[in-house]
Amino acid sequence: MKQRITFILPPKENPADDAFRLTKDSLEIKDLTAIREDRFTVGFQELPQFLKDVVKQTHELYIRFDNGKDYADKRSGPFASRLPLGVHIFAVPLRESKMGNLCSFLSKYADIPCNSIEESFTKHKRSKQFYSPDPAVLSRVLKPLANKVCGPAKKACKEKLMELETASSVDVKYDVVSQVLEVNALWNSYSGGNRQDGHWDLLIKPNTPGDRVEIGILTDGDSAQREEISLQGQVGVVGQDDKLKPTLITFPARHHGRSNIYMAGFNQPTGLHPKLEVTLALGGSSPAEECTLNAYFTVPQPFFVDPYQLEDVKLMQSYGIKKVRVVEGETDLEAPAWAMTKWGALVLAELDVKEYMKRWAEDPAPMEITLPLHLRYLPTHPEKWKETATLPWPTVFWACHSEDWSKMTTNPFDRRMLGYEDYFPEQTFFYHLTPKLINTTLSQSSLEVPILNSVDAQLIEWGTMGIIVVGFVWVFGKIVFSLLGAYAPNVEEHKKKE
Amino acid sequence: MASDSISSVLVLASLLRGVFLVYGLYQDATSVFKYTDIDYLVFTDAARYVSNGSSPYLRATYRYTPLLSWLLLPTTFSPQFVWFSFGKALFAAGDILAGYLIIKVLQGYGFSTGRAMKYSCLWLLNPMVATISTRGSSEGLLGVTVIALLWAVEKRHVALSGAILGFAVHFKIYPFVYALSILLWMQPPGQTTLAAKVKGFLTRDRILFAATAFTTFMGLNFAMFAIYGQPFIVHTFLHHLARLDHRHNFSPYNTLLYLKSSPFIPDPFYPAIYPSKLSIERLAFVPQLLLSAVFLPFLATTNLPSTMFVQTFAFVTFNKVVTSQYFMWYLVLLPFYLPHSSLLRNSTKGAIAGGLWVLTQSAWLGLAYGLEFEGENTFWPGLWGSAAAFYLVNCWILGVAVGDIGKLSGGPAEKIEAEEIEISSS
Repeated sequence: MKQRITFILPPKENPADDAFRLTKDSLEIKDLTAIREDRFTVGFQELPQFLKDVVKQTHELYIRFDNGKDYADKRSGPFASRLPLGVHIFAVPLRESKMGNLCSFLSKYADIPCNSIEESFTKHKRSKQFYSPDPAVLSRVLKPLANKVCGPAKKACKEKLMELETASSVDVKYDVVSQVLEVNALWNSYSGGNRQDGHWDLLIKPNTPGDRVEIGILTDGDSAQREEISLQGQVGVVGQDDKLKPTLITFPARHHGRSNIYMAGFNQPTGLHPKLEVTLALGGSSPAEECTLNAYFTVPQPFFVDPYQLEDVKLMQSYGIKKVRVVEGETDLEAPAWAMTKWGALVLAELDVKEYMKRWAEDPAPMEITLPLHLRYLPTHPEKWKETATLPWPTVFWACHSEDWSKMTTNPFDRRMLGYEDYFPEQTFFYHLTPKLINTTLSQSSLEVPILNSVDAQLIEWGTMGIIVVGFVWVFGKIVFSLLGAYAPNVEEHKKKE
Repeated sequence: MASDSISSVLVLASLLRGVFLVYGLYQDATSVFKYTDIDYLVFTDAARYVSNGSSPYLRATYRYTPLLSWLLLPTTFSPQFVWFSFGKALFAAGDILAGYLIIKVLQGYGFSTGRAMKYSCLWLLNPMVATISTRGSSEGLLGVTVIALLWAVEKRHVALSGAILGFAVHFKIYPFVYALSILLWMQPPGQTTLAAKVKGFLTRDRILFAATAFTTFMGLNFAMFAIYGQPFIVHTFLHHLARLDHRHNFSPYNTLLYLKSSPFIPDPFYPAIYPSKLSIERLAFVPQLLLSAVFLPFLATTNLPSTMFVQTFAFVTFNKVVTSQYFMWYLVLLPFYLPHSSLLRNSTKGAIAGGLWVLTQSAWLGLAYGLEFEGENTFWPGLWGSAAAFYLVNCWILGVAVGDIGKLSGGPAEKIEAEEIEISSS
């Protein structure tokens, strides 16, 4: 197993002299304010059997988790890419595999109902895709996973795994070509340390002497070029190097942050056809002339979008959307929630920024866009009259054409297969807007869906039966009466008109 | 002179639809609230698939015969701003033809032209009918088919009427309820006893009618199946039998369907109480079909069009799904029943019936609006109660109508009609 720990300090800040101390077999970090990324690289052969079983059925597997907070500092540095909160899975099967082990892993460890990938996942290009907006999945999955991976005795191992619970995002990646499982955990906030005041205090030591731990303590510097990120600081290998070596790296990055904020909420009252309104403070500027502004929505059950409605260009333009580029996944327009097995649908929309910019010159108000949604009927309940339905906020980003895209793979922090970037050409830069959490702790919005309370189930049954019988008997009686009149022998035979 | 006034009504009805159609184009062009019905977009999308040589069933929620998408093929022609509205014009033309045939059939029943026109205006100049067809709903086509059926039956075009019935059932299933009434109506004179009627049931006309109806229906089905295969069967027929229909609508069964199709979580205080295993919602077709397709047809010998009206009314009232478009199904036959209606003779009774019908429906609409757009929980008892009340009002009106038809047989129909002419002319 290989481990790489990177600390990124705020721009133009250098670590204090006593912030880290390298000894023969460990590195001590003290009182360091920084974003932290841990990368674990595990070879297939090193994996526990049950994980081998999962990954060996996949050609590529990406499991990404985002905690839906810690946005304040995200705009800086190499960790600017964003996803809606929750769990995003993309899995490309190996040959014709049904990836049944992935499915049972999800139901066993993450408590995500999965009968089969076919039933629960949607199709996304050549991969199968799944999404859950539940931010609790990570902590739910870590505990049993730690027990299984570490065994009952190894407390240190368990603690290390449980640390991931506090991460802003965790990515798991496997592909059959490299035969390597990579886990990236990111504490993406300068106040995200392991101490009360948000600083890092820790002793980094390889688990076994054979393990390699690379260290980087870097400062997010200014780059001359807009598309580039420049980091300077010190790097080294714990237990191998006597001293950390100074370094300066510069690389073009695919994802960048923008300080422009946005927030979202449902327009009230919500009813069964809610609309998510996203307010964007663009400040009247775009990164470059030719960029497009896009919103990537994940729409989980019980919400759904009507793809035919989203095709209506005039309607969507009235909602600030130039064109809905992609609707993918479950879009059944009629079925209730309990008849659905797939998680929901993805929507990628290009926003009508040109129209907005035109207006902005006269009226510098924030941009407003709206996604029209619908709700499925939810199961009845004996004690409830409503259920809460939660929709994650979209990620909003500028997509711009890039000239030196071929070098982007040299980025040591490059992140691929996020779900939206494969709808853009390879040579695209993404500039992500920053969600602003006001009156909410997570980047999501909730509403109440009325449901039928089933406490009077029997009354509903007997009542319905009762009125049907009453109506039927009345009409039937009238028919009998009329027919008796019509067919009575003493009545003059009815002559048919010619 | 009489035909002049008929054409003037038809022209007026066409103008009304023309104005609505043009207004619809204007609203669609200027407002995000579309005049055009969602279903029309389904039909025209399906027609586009057909024009590309594909199946209309590639369009989600296309649940109709492929014939409809074929009929609407001109909506794919260019220039689109002209041809896209072809279907609406076609449906509106269907309305007008239905209205014309209503007049013809009423005249066949001895109605004066003026009186026939008066009743046909219920359909021809009804703004609701004009709106529905110019918004692009296909119910108008069904209306003209049913009236054409009636016209052909009354004119003794036996084979033609069979063919029309076969087509109608292929188009929208429910007209099969008319089969028995028409067969019974074809009662040869001279069979006075029940035994004689049973013994002499198989007449040439009846056999011809049944055979043409069956052949047309099955012929169309086989043809469509041969072209489009399984999806045709699934979407045109099976879907209507298997659908869950849990989303709220006017049907009295609606709340029950939601309750019974949802997974049931037992009440923690009464864990033993479960909804009954007997799924009465699955038996909903029993009262519906007993009334509309079995019992009511026996009134047909008294007055066929009025019987068809009550049959349709019963079919819709007792259906598992009721939306306001279904009201079109019986509205087209109302001009035949209304002249004999006690609701028209006794204006107080009529006003009460109309008032209750509107009132209970409005109550339901108000509660449904609260649920749909305000997020209020009105499922129970509100929506259920208003749907139940609407159902009971419908049943009452249905009973009254059945009684009115029954009274027609008490003496020669002409006598009552003669009385009415006096009333209406005075």
